[in-house]
Amino acid sequence: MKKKLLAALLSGALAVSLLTGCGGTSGQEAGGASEAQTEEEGQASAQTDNPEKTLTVWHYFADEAQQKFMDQITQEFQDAHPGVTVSCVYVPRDELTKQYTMGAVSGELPDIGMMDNPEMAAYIEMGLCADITEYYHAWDEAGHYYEGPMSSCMSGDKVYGLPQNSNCLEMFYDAPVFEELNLTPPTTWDELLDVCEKLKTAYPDKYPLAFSANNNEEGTFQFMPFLLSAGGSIDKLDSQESIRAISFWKELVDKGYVPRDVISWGQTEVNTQFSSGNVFMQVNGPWNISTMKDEAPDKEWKVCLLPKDKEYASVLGGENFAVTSACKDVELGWEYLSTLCNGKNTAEFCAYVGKFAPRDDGSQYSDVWDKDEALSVFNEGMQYAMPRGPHPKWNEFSGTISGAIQQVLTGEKDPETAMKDAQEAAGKIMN
Amino acid sequence: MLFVLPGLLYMLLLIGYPVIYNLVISLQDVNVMTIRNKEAVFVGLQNYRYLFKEDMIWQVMKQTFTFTFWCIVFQLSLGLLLAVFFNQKFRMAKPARGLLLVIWVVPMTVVALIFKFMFQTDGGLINTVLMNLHLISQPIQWLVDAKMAMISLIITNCWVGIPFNMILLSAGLNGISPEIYESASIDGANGFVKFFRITLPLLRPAIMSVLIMGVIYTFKVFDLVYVMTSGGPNNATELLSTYSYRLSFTEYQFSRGAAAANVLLLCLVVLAFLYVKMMRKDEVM
Repeated sequence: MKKKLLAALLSGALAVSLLTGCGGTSGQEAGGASEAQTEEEGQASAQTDNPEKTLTVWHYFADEAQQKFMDQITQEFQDAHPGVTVSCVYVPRDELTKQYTMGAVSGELPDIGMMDNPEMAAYIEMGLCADITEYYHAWDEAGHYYEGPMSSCMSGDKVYGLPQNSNCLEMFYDAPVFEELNLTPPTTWDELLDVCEKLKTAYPDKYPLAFSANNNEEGTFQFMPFLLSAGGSIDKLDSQESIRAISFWKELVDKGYVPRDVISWGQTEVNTQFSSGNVFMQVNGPWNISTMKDEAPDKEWKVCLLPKDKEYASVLGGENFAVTSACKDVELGWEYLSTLCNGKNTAEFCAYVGKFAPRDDGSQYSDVWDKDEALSVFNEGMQYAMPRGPHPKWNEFSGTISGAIQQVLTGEKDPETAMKDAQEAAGKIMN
Repeated sequence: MLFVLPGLLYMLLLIGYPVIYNLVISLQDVNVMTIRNKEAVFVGLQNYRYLFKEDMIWQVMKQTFTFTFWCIVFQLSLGLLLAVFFNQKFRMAKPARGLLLVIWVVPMTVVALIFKFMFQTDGGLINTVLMNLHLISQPIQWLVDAKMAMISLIITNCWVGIPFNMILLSAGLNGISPEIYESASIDGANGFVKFFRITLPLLRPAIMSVLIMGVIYTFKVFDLVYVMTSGGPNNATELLSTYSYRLSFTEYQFSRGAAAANVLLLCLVVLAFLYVKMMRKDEVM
């Protein structure tokens, strides 16, 4: 029982660090299985001064602004629910994913957890999320959610969580360089090639464009808008349209418009290359805006919609929160969830950190999405943003797409063969 | 007999249990769709058959062995050279040796990130230096080309591993009495003869233990690959450890991941077995 043991050890370590963090509280009574003990300790650490009711919330908001907001909401919730203590714990994303997976076996889970939307279907299938259908339908704000984000929280007609924020991919470009060369932001793939050529001619030792074609979910995520724009779909990877999309990426790389290194670049690295001026355009999401403002305050950039082939397209990213199956008091869990995700808090959070509300009443609480120049472009793009999945085997499926991208960009396979093989593999996974 | 009990219990609990649990999972059908069922279905060797039918596992095994082999060759030989070098009595020998050990202290993830930056095709430190020295005319596609990506990983792992090898071998060198060298000098032995006839044979036990530890450490390397290439480009640097992790924690195919981990375990058991046999032979000699 490797996972269980590891989970016990890790949560033990976590509990110990929490305990010391609180200035040392007395441990629980001895005895009982080691696992049960760690669980008790984990909770004891959260309830130093109030033994009545506690909630543990795990999230992977690494940003200080985002964490501050979580604390604020937690405070609001505690004020409204005297006697309840909420502890918000930041767990790095990779670690959190691992914890959930192990939690599926060991039951070591927080009460509330943050989940990336394409992963959520797998977590629901693994039994990590509590069924909150009843509470959801009794909630007066239930009707506000957009279909795409909401569908990632559902399995059949059962509800297992609430979307908390959304984002999509568009294109950032280097405004001064565009001005200098008298370029306008491209709106179609042909124009994109044209702009790339001009940029490459003017700056042969730099790159016009970059995206992430990493060997993981990021590669699939970034490829999705191109796939959809060409008229392709993830159900038919071997269609002419899908092949056209991957061929377009290959063309960009082969012509030297996009560095070959993108097959090992994550989206963070793409953004770093863009901010440091090695790349003039990047495909990326709005979460980079605050990073760039912090790390490259002098950089002048603008955002435009991703150039289209047949139609504008983008991909939906974002996070959900769920009450987990380990939560003993689902009603209290729901109370927290519906506070965190109510119209006001969702909108204020998203406006504050440059994301988008996954519900239709965002603009009631903030006008940043219309006023801010960059965000308004993303806001326009949100209407084209398609969700990934939802499917419990999305990750496995996604692996075949990012794998095919790697095969094509490294020249291992030609676009037709790679996409045909990917379709065949995908067919096997989905059956 | 009683004294062995705590150790044995510890071994059984912390090593035996996970190993057996892993073995059990690998014989069942546990994945994202079935993990909720409390009674997992026993499927025999189906997961292993699946792995070996897909060419992936062969490729991954081959890559793991290639990686390990070259890492060990370079780590051990360069580590030995450095150990002999720093064993000479010259000024600053000891501080310099100590400084080299700093490399070993840097967390693997940090090393991997630094090298990832240095290995960038455009603007990466290594290519820039090589270009400016006119050693190459075109930038090398370190992490993009399948072969070069493996070489980049080997270089990075050696960079980390050499100081470690060096320190362990230095300890072995210190154990060789200087009188032996003195009498060899009197008999007219030159440096080469001394190295091959005295140093190497007497260092054999140290080399053997460094070798086996190195092989095991290298064989199950994870963080370096995960951060630097995450198995890419196009699975060219996927190793047994990262492959098993990917199956279990990205694709949620727990049984297949467990099966891949057991293949890794089996390889290590075979290596350990060879090691024990060699040690026995040593004792007889």
